[in-house]
Amino acid sequence: MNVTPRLRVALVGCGRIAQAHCGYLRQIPEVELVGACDVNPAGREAFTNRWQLPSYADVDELLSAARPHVVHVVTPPATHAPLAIQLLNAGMHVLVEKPMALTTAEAEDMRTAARRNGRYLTANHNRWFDPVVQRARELLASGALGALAGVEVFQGAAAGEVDAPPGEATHWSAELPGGILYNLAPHPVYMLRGFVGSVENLEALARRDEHGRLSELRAIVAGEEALGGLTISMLAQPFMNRLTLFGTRMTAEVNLNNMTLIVRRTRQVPKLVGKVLPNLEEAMQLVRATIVNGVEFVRGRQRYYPGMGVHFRALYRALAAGEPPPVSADDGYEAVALLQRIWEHVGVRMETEQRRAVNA
Amino acid sequence: MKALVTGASGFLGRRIVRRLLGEGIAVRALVRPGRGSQCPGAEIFEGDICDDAAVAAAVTGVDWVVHAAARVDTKGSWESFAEANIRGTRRVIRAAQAAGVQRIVHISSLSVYAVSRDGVTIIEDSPYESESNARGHYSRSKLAADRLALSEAERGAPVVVLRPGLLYGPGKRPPLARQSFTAASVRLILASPDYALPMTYVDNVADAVVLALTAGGVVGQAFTLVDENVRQVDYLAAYRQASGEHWRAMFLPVGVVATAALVIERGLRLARRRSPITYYQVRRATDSAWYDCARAARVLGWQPAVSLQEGLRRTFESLRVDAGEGTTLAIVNATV
Repeated sequence: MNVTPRLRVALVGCGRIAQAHCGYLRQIPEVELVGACDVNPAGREAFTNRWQLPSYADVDELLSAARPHVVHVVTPPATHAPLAIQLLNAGMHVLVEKPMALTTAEAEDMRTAARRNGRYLTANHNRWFDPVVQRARELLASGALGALAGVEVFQGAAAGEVDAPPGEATHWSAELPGGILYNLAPHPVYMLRGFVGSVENLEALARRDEHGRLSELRAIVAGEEALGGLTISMLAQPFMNRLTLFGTRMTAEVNLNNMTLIVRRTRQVPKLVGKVLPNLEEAMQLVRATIVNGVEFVRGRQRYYPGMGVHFRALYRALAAGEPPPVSADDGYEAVALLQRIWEHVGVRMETEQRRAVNA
Repeated sequence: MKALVTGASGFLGRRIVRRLLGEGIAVRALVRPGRGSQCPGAEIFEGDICDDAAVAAAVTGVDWVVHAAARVDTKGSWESFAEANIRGTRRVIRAAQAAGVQRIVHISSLSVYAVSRDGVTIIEDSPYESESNARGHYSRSKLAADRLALSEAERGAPVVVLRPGLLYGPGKRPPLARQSFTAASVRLILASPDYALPMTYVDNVADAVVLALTAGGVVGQAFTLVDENVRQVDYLAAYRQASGEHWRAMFLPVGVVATAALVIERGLRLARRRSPITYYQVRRATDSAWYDCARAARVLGWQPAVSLQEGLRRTFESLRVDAGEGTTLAIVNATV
């Protein structure tokens, strides 16, 4: 019998994002999915019925009955730190959904636990691996864009983003510091930081809706590589999710929702032609991307969270080869730190009822 | 000495109680309410392994625990299987350890092993089944319980795991095969004539339980208990002789059935429906594994005292006494 031993992977949390994790983990040859745990019995039952995998009532039961090597923590953010530390101390490698933690203090404890136990700690910064974002990164790295002059990230809110899970009154994100908007914030934050590097200075402004919840947020940052800005909007319609890299030679515009990338370059043409040609070029790029995406969709390759699959494949290849993970614990920590700084700027306290309940 | 037997009113539990009493060991039988009459001679303790308080009370004052309780239905929610088979096992082991019990024997199943190819030899250290997505709730939960029991042993609980084969014995009609169907006087067998059935007579398991409770150097180990890896065609001959029944066995073409299952499964998957029969199930029922019980012989000193012929004879004798002749099941699906 010549069977390559696979990494046994389990999930803590059977909610919506767990389904996406399972879908991608199932496709990775190095991975054997071995089950999940959740405090919600309805969530466990639904998980087992969908994936035909065992689900357990608590972490202790999961660890002893499923014996995983790697655990994905896909629970509300306030529980990330205590769960990750428990798992790292039990000898597991841990991937934590974004944000890695709520505060830098928590993130530091997690990083320490990972180091002490010699285990991988990584955060699911999936958008960083979206194929369109990867292409933009390649354009930047290859020098095609020229030097990076600035970065803009826009994050909108999809309808139904925070619908309550079955059997529960509200979505947990309403309990986050700063409310629902917090759940969206990690993506533009790690994205921005990924391009501008360490942030030296930042400014941030926010507005609240009539219920006192944060609804709009803008931040500008001065990073070691470039200036950057992020906007998170709960109100702007339609739902958009965009990234712009301004280069000294070209500008790349990424639409993460529609999975398109458009580059704009300076053309040495008469002024009148210059008014028309860029539009045609843009239209051609959109048509081409739309056809490619359409074909991929028909072939069943176009799915939600496309970066997650790319990230996981890279992570498990790295784990199998003993190489560093594509998103390090330091990357996770830095994203938490930047988010915390933005939140402090707009005057949101990081303590929440949910956090206090976890710590109690 | 006193032993608690969980699932004491079950098919195997009853025989374990009888055997322990025969050894002069006092027995407390944990049974669901109203099932105590199945365990004559034992102290009856009514309760449920899903109830923390009942389990804690049941393990108090005993020296040994034999955990034979399990939910074995073919239907029910995952949560009901997880509660009984996984959390129930953890509850029993933790409570027993806390109460200072000296030895805990967990009854597991051969279904925990992966049968990677036809004809593979399986020992206790062979890999666990990894295609758990193709399993039913029963197998999935028993596999988790087996792993959990050995994890608890690593944490210091005095656990021994026994993995018996396809159980048969007095009180229950033995299966003809893993999968068989009745059509008038013909028995359709979904297996090749050379398929190896891992048969285990219940009283042979009860013997192993006594050994596992008393032998030294066995904690934290698992033991496969198979009397005989008997060829399907030989088994049917022994079965016919012991039962006195007259029917003709017909072996279904395994390759054709497996291919058909694969086609049905893939087709229904496109329609996002689950197939009633899967390629995996056919393969699991037709790929032979040879279970090597050398560890049980060497470490426990276990030898199956009752042979297949004798076991089948005793089984059919008990059925004739209990219910008269002529009880036939339309379909027998063995849960191992």
